[in-house]
Amino acid sequence: MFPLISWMVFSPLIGAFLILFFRDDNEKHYKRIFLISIISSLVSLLFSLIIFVNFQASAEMQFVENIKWIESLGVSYRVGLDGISFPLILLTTFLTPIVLLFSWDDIKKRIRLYYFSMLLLETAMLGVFVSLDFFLFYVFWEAMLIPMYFIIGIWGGKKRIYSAMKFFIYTMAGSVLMLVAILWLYFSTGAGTFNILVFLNSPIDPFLQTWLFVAFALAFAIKVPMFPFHTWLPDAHVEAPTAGSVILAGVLLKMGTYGFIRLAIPLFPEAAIQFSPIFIFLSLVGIIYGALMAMIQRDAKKLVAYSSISHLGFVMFGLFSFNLLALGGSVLQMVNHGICSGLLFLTVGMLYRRRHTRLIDDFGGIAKVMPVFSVFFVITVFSSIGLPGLNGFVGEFAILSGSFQSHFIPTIIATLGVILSAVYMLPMVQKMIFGKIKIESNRILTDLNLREWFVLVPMIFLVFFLGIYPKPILNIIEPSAKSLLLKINERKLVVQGIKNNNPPLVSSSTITRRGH
Amino acid sequence: MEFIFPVIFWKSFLPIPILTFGAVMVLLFDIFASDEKRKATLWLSIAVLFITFISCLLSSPENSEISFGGMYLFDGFTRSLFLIILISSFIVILMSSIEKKFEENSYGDFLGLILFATLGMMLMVSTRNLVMIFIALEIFSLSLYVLSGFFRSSLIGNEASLKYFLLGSFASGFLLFGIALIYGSTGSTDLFEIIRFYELSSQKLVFFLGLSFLIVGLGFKIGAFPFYMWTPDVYQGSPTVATAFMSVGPKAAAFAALFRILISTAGFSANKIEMTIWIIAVLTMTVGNLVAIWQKNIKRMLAYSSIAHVGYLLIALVTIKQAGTLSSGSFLFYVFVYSFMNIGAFVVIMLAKREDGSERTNIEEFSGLGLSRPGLAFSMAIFMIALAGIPPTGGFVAKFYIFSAAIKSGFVWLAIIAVLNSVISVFYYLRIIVVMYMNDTEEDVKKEQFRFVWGSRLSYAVVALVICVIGTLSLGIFPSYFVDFALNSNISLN
Repeated sequence: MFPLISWMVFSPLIGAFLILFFRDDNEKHYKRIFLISIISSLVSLLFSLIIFVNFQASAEMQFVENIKWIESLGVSYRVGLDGISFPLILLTTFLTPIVLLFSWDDIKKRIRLYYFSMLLLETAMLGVFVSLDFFLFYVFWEAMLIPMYFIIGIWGGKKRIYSAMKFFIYTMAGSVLMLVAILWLYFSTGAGTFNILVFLNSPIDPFLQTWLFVAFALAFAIKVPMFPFHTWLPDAHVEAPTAGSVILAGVLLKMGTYGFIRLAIPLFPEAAIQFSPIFIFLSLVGIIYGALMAMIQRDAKKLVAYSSISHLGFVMFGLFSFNLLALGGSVLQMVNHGICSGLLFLTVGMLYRRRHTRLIDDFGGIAKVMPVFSVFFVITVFSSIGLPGLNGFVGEFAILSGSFQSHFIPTIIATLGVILSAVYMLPMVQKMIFGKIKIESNRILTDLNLREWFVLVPMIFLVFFLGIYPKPILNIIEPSAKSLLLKINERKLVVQGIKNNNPPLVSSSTITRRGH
Repeated sequence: MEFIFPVIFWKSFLPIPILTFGAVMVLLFDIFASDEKRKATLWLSIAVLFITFISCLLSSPENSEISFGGMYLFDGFTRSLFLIILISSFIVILMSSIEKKFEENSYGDFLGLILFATLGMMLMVSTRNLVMIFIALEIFSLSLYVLSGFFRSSLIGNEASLKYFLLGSFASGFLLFGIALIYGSTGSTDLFEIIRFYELSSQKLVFFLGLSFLIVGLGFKIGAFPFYMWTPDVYQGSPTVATAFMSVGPKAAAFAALFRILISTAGFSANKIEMTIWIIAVLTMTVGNLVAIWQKNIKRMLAYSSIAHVGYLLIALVTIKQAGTLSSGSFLFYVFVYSFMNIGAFVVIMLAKREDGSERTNIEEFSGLGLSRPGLAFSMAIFMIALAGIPPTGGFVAKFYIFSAAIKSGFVWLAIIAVLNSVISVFYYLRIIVVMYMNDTEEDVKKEQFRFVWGSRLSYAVVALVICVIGTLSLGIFPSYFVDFALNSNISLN
């Protein structure tokens, strides 16, 4: 079989190494480097589309490749994808060429290192999503940090070094504990392999589960980020160059939620069920806190950054309500948030490119000078608010209507977050886009150039497409979500059985009904 | 009295006489060769290392082979360390060729000293006899004292040399005293026989006193807490080549001796010694990492970083009883990776010299290197990332390996402390990257033209750099062969 996944993951890497052989000292060389990086990311997109065409709607891992790597330690190069990882992979391969295209007007120094880092980042991100081996997963997970660190630290704003370091330290502090947990898991089960699928199918001692879950959850909660661990996010998002922010919000944050759904919850279901009230509480705090913080921001980019905290709160809420509709909605919301927040950062970046400011008060009446841009911007904001018919609505609605069945009061609080998102988004649109032009330098702004059209149109297309007809993605997600939930519910019975001193079968009817 | 000729396994013993003879040859050649031909000394010493390397490869012991009644012990562990020490000496000799100051001093002497130090380290890793450990230690220590003060006109170098010598002799005294006490209580200096005689001994307290003196003496050589004080000064003052050399081999050699001592005493004193080393390991890595953050001089920073790495290596030592070959294998793999990434960092420092030949000593002076010398900065970034233990470099696999030994032996807390320490270390390793790539002063930095001519002195150092980069990366991406090699390197006493 043709190793489709490997080609998809490593074609950006090949491009990255090709770039290293080119000089970057004049405009002509810049163009060459730019083209190579765009092409290699498009090749990756192409492979992901081939996979999309051949994808079977089932819960099984597909396109699995398995090559021995470090045999004596039980480490192998094992990759594959299923309905949970594949939407995120599509998101990654789709976003990367777009941000590379966007970068052309933004990045003026150290072109070669920039595109090298970007392509390295794409490989690492895809690698995280396809890894089915703990060692491989961890390698990609950590390797991702370095290019992102460079992107924030070299091409970022004024506080870039501080922000880059903060981003790095936060993420690494979480993930090294996960490394200890992985090793502990490895030696406690004595399976002699780091194959994730093996661990997913073997029950783990409940005492151990608690500790290991805490370690894994910490790593992922920092990445999401959940409420008390979020402080790196505003710094990193604001200081990163636009392309970096798009990737950060669009893909990197999803790795945290992906980690929960792929590893932390299914590996340690008992612990996850026990901790779920805490996580639901924290995600609600995140929803409200993110929204309130977004409300008081004067910097549009910071506003978008805080809105991410709020939106990811929804995803986490959906994950921990253990309900099929909510779970599917969470995965869908991951993709949707990737598109929405990506678009928001891109549009804010386009304004910044023209005016070198992101303060909301510095704009006003943009609609008069940049009509096309304004239309795109308003659509973006509406999708982020969750207007029906646009993509933002579908995921959030699924999450809320799913969790409503099991968590009544938390759902009401979360719904408050939807209202709040209108409260912080709409005034921004009003102040920036509509009204009179107050500042003279805004009069001479030019509308979108050709490259910016190419950046925005595919994204806006997806906003409508996923909003009106999300079925193709839902078809991918559903079988995997179903089988995951089935497993969790089995565990839930056991946990409840122990708690009530009842044999597990007594309460099975209610729960399994909900599960299907 | 009848003289019994000792058993000698010539095939496994061969590397030692080859290297001894070769080192003497290099010295003699340097004395008698004309000035024209003297340049060949470099090639001669590389050839000596190469032949020794081959002779090591040829002997592949299935079991351990004991010559001279335990004075010389050759097993898989020994062989792997031989190879690592020889490779690191080779890289150091390659990088030494760009040091212009050698022209006023004698380059041949320098090479001879490197070879003799290598010999000392090799003897140290291949014995189970305490007396032999002491002799080997003195052989390489004396060479290192001279090497650290090799530039006679350098004041700071003299200080480093004297400091190293005084403290080093003090530590040797401890070691010798410890050996004497052990001999007094058990009647033997052979680690294998000590196991047997310990039970009969009535002086168990004296024995443990001797053992702790031994650990103090060797702890000084590896630079463990609280015997690390000499490290920063000596690292800073010594010629960069010598610093690179003493940062890997001698530590590996002293560690090997500690490994054998711990294996020998594991039967009756494991818990006490384990606890002691556990505490030393935690303190060593924590102190090393915390102090390194505040360093302004890059060589001092690397000194403290090497102290931190000794802390990680001590984890492998703690776990030797429970984890067995996983522990000694992780040690070997770590040292192997460390020799590439750490020596590589020193090669970068040497290559980053300015046009006028002055070294960049302060970290701030590396500012803008990412623009002026992109290749060099890129290599340095790789070494720093590897030292911080971040994939996909060898540094990560090495740490992974050591932590897995710790967790397998049940030292979960030690592993947690160690991984948190490696987060701390990110601060100072990444600071170098920040300085090279992200500082604001970079706008006025011009790209330095870099003339690369094959056969020039510079080209040898560049080759050394390339070897280090390839080693660091390939051990991270394709570690399988070396992991197996390390795992199969059995460590034993008989």
